[in-house]
Amino acid sequence: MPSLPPGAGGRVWGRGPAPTLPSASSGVSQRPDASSHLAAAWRPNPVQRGIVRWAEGLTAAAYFGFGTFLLYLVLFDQGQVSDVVLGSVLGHQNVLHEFFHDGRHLANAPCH
Amino acid sequence: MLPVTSARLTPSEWLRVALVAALGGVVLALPFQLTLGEAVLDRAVAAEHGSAHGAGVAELFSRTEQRGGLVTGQLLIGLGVAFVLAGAAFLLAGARGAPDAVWVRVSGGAVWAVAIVPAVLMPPLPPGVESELALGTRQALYLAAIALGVVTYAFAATLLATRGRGWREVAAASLLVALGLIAAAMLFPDQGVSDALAAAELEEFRLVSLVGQLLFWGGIAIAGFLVLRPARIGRVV
Repeated sequence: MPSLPPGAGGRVWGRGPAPTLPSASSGVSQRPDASSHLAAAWRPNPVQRGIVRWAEGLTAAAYFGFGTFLLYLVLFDQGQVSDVVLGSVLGHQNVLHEFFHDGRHLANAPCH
Repeated sequence: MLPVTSARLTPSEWLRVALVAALGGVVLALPFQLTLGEAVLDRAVAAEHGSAHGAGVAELFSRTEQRGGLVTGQLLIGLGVAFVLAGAAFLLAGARGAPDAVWVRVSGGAVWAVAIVPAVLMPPLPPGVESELALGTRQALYLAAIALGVVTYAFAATLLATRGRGWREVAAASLLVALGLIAAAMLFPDQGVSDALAAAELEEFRLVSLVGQLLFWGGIAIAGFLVLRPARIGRVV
């Protein structure tokens, strides 16, 4: 993987081999600095930019949704999920509510 | 050191920052909750078991196991909060704004909306203290309190962003938010709590709950800021 210029955010923009600067001493490729004219060559085209933005937005929304579900299980579930998942093993005993009891009270989530 | 060097972070970079920040919040809050929080809870549970309502009720987990549940739950809450804040930070950051400033705004909003506003509108109830309201109603009111906190914070932030940040603008935004909170406090129904616990014990529980939450959310805000600070320095230099 070729090296990236600062500000690329860890993503490879554009197609084909990335531009690199040859080292004067060792011949090893070096990262072009921000002032280099090569840095300007890293601009993605509008389609690529749109796809990446869309994928990143979807990822962020998925993070938000997963985190909300996790918080629901710990702070709100009154058997709606736990009885479906664990009911056949532990019976319908509102397991998550009982286990996270103290945390719910201290987090100000309505518990009983 | 996290490899954060760009002004605009990807969702996974935000998630790494948020996970470290959440761990900082848990590390700060958990010792407090395990010592002072559990001491108050133990007294409340003992009073509950001694009351007519709680006498003879078999518990699924022992108090020791519920302490384990507190640790597990706090770690899972930290994990959930990290995912929520990472998603929110990315979606709200846009293309502008230094990451540490974005983090302070997002986590500051969480302190206001999740810790402070619900504590004012729906003060926490310890075990044994019953409410006249049904559980589903109280859960809906709790979520409404959080939503109101988010709306008032967003309103104040927008006002300051568009009108400037002089002392008059800050005072006006604070006044409007305070008026909104007072109006909501008058509209929210009283929980109608039973007197199973002495008033001093109830107040102590509420104070411990609020301090624990402030430690958790404050720890998240500060730890995230400290993690992101080198990114700003690296960008400026």
